[in-house]
Amino acid sequence: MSAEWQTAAQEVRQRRPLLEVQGLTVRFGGLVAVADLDLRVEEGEIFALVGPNGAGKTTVLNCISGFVRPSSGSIRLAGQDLLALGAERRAALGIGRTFQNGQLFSSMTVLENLLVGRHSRLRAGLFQSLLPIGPARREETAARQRAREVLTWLGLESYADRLVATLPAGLQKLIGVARALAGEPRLLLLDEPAAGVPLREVAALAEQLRRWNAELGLTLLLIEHNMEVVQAVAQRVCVLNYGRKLAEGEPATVLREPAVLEAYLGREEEIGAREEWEVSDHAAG
Amino acid sequence: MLALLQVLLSGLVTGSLYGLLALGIVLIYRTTGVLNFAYGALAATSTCLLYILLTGPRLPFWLAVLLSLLFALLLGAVVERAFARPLLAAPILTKAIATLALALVLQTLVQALWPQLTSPVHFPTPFEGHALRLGGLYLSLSDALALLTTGLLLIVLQLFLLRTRLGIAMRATADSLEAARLMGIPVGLIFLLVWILASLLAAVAGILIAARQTVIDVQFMDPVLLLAFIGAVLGGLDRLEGAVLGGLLVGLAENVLALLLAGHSLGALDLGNPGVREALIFAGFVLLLLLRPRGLFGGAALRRV
Repeated sequence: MSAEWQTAAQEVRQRRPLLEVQGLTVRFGGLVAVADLDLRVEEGEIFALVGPNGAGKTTVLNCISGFVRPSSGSIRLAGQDLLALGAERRAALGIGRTFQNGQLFSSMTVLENLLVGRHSRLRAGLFQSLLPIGPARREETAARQRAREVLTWLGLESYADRLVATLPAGLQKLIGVARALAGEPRLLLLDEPAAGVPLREVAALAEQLRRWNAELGLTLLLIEHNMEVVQAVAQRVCVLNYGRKLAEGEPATVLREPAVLEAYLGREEEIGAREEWEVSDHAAG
Repeated sequence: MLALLQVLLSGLVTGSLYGLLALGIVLIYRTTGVLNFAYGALAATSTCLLYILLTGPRLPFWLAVLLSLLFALLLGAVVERAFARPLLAAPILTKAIATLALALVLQTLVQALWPQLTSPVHFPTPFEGHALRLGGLYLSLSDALALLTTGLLLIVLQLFLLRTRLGIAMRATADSLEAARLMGIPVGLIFLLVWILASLLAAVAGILIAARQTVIDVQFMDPVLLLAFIGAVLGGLDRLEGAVLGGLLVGLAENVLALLLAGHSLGALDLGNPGVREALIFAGFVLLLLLRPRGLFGGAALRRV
């Protein structure tokens, strides 16, 4: 009976989205940053949120992480109401995130960054951890071990004891991911993973994203400007414009819709200019 | 030669006290973004309470110290909740100005409660009049205690910040508040702990300084705070070791200058006057900042905490 029951439960779980955003509206003063947005991200999927600058993508991400309180609407993770919880308590539910500008703990070592990333997975309190012996100490040893495993898995083990501030920008981006992965999230929010990545490394990045998704069973929700990456990795994409959903579906079809082209992709010359910018940016940095 | 060693020794004592204060200043600045000009007043408030406990109910010295430190703990918590927390999102300059108001409030409260502290009073300690002789060097007992206490505190703090999960969480909060919250660090609790810790450090420094000076009033920490701030800024304002080193440097400079200037005069100006020494320190500080705006250690590849 238990096997049968488990299959049934699995089916229910599969049908229920991991992340469910309903009627999300965010107002900053008189400005409507996000208007009545519905999103469903299924477990195990790679979902991209795209749109011109100022379309409200980062605001949506900030609502999910808890930095912005929406004016109305609901956000659920595996059926649990997120808006009732502060940002500090959402990590424990399985939400990880990277930031566009890194937000790394730059005065600390790489390993320490991952230990903090794992904080939400530890059961012992911060005060308990001050004891020289006991369960908290054992748990911490295990956490260090796990953090090293994550570093090894990402090929970063040789940087474990380096100070983050001394590492190049590209590496820091990867450390941001490692820190998020150390918390063993179910849903990883990625804020422009390809920004600042040189063009010749974009394909490798896309490959990495697919690997995290496939090998860890990790659900990815990414904001991305680089359409090459979106086309290469996203199973579904949602296009935002002025805080509203313009289109949603498979990238191959959605990104060809006339409304989308007009709002966002139509400005070919601008996109070309942006890419050149990124290249020269990298050359300069 | 012996005179120089003697001066360096007292420079070390003064410097370690400045370093302790600078450390508290930097700790608060890095985690909560408050340039705390009320830090001297915090130290003075706890020290004044100790004076009252010693002279009023005549409590045994160490019991009175313990009670004063408990009070400092409470004071830090109250100031964090009632003062720093509501201002968390305010611009840095607003917060800095607000601490000037806080300092005024604390000093006025102390004066209102204990009017005798408005003018200088004798601060009684069991160490007064005792001294150690090390070879030809002379070290008063209060100085020896100051060196021992600050040294121990600095080591314990360093171990705490580098080795324990709570210490790592504090540093993470200082580096990126947003990311720390996202990783599940209870940043509100961290703020509270940082202010409590800083208030304790301030009380310890205040008590040690009062024991050295043997005379205090409600504003006795004001000139000390200025020099501690110079130490903190010299250290780059964002590094804990920088703060300690900066404080040490200021203390050494102060004492060496005193030795060099004593007995000399420039026209009618007596160069041995402490005012001349301080003016020189401030001038040197401004000059250093012009040359190295990020402090002496800012930009070097030191391990930041």
